[in-house]
Amino acid sequence: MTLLELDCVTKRFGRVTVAESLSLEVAETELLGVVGPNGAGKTSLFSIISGDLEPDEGRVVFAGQVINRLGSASRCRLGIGRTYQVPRPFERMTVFENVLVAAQEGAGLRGRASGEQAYSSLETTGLAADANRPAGSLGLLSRKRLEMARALATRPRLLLLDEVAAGLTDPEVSELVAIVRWARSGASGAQPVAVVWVEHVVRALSGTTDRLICLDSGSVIADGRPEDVLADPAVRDVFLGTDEVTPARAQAEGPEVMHRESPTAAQQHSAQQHGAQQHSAQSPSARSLGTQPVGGQ
Amino acid sequence: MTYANALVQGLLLGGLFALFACGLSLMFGVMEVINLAHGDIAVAAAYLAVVLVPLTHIPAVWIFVLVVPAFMVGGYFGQRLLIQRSLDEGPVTTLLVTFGLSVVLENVLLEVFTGNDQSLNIGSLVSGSFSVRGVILPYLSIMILGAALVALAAVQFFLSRTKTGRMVRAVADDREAAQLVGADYRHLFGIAAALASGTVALAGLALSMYTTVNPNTGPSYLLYGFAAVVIGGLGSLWGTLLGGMVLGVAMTMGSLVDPDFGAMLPYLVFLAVLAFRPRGLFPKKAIA
Repeated sequence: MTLLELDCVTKRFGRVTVAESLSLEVAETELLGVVGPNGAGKTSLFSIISGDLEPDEGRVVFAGQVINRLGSASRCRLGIGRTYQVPRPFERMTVFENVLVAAQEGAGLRGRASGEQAYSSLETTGLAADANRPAGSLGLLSRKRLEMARALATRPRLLLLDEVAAGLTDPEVSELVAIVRWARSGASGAQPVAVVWVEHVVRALSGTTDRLICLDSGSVIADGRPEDVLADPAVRDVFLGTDEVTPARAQAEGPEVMHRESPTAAQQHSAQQHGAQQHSAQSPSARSLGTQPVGGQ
Repeated sequence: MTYANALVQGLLLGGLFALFACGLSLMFGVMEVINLAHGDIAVAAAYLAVVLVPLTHIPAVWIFVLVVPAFMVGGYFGQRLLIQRSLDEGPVTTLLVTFGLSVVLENVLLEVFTGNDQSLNIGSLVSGSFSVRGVILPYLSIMILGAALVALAAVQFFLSRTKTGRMVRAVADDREAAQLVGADYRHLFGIAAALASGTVALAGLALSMYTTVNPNTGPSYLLYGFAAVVIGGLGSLWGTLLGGMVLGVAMTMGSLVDPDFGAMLPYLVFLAVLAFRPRGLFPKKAIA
């Protein structure tokens, strides 16, 4: 069943278009990955869904309700949770208070229930031991965990993750990926959530998502299974246009230019492309996130 | 002994200044609004009391039971209907709007009550005192300091221990992120404004018992409030109380030298703090 639908959404700032007749559906409990070059409109897409930006045209429908005109606070209470790319904890409050506020205001819980929800979100994200520290004293990884804990504590039905992996090392990324899986499975006691996950570091997504879309200039240019999307000529073309790698190198290596940080991940993708029959062999476990090639050459 | 007396009177006076300052600190800490009408709101509260006491036959000392809630409600709606709209336009607009509010309040009071001095009659309490080892302790000053302590403690408790108070702090910290966890920031701004208006109304009542007020009294106490906030360190309620006490002591000590110097010394202290400790004597990042 469709949980979120964007219907021909357009948003412009002067001559800059961040969304151009963008249509998108997210099913309940789906995990959708979103990739795209810098400035493709990934974060704007989140702002449109979470209510920070109101679209000029088109409809945003959540759980059967048109939410175009709802503010982000109301959307949060309806069940849309969001994390920021650069974590924004309430620095002057403790970690626990950060999450408690989310449980009380976002999930509408009171008394004991709110405390329990807050604590379980901290446990899910491995922050329980830091509950009484001021949030401002946390390092980047813990801030990212807190960002996720706070979003989870609002008991979302849809969770928007904005570049969770940015700035983290591979093992740290794997940890956060494991948290997302755990939260999504419903094992933490809450209902399973749908996740839309924007990521620049593509290897964090591959192996985790069921479906991938690629954005460019505010439009969806590819939508489908991750390996198909990454192999799509249009997608490859878009990434060639960036200055991240020289065209010569990009042509030689294909779409894996998106993650030049990780030669192993690149290897993984080339491996998959070269052995097309290996697609289904890709392990969905967190361990496969660019740490080892899956398909044989 | 004169010095001991001046010191104690100054400390007691600090409570009054802290009551003035607490709301300024809240308004700025939570929504970055500098409310130039803050002092005039206090004076308006005093005038409301002057009207209500003969009407209701409630003793002047207890009139705060009516006036403070009325000003809290007024503060909430004043924020939602007036200041919030100007906030959406930008900081300069907010400054202009509160300045306009100040002018309007002063002139309405002038029109209705004339420019004559008014005060709340609290009978013999105004001059009653007892002395400990030669130090004079006026009942009224002790009452005002007590009221300030209770009010500050209540605000502090509200912000740190209650659900709504926590939300106010979250919104003060990061408005957008707070909205993402479901906080309606306009409502919470209203709550903060209600607290600010309630505490400054209490300050106005105390002031009109302590001395006289007229429609033009507001701005000078606005200045004392600012000075207390800056000396104490922005965003710290207890720092504000200490800032108020520093001001009070400067005032009474200065008066020992010369009454005019007593009016000036608090501002010299204020300037010295700005020059040498620009973040205040007791800096703290958080509100409350």
